[in-house]
Amino acid sequence: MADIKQIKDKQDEKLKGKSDEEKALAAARRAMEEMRSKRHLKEPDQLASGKSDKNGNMVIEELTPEDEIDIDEENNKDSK
Amino acid sequence: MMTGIRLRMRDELEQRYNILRLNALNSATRVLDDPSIRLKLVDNATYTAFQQWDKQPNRIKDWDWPSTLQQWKMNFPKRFEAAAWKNNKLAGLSLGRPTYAGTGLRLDYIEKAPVTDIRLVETMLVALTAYSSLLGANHLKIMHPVNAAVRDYYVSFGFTYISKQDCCIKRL
Repeated sequence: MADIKQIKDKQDEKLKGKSDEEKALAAARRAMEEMRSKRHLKEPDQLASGKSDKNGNMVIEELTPEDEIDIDEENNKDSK
Repeated sequence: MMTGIRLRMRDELEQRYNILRLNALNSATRVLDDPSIRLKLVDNATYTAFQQWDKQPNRIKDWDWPSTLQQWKMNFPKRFEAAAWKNNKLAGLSLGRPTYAGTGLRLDYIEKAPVTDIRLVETMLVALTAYSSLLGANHLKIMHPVNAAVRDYYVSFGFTYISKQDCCIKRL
């Protein structure tokens, strides 16, 4: 994880003043590299994520300030 | 009812973010390992292809993507949307939007086609990461994994499951 962060920080520095196309491509390349390195499990054949209402319909979930969380804080809570 | 000025502002935002969405999807398509996969914005061809999903008995969710996508296109100009095509067959759909204050990017919905051999999560995460870089988001959230196998699959890519919000989160 630290390696990926370092790569990202270096890339961010290099990408200052670059076009959106260049930024998107650099991020996509970095993400693809990470996917390859973490490709350990077979993807489930049936795969979905998202919220349904009681009738099984897709819903537009309301966004709240609680949506913004401190990831590290939440990680610590979950690991306790 | 939207007033003229609000409609114009919405249209301007829609156009601006559509360029970013296209940048993200095109960039992701370029770097994917499988050259038979294309990421595209949702269009009429997507809706037509989706009708085949509706007939499949082994669909994990009976979601009505076309009507939801149209609602989101009207209401969320900054949304992430992607249709994954493999060998010209619709292999997956996803939909997301920035978090409340825009520090993160949520993947609100994702569904893999009932019959396909695509690695959909990898494909969508590459595009989502590219889009997040253009929005300046610092984390990704995948909302409401449908079961433990799917949740664990996200975790295998470095996400952390947050039970309180029923989502998987990863810092970028």
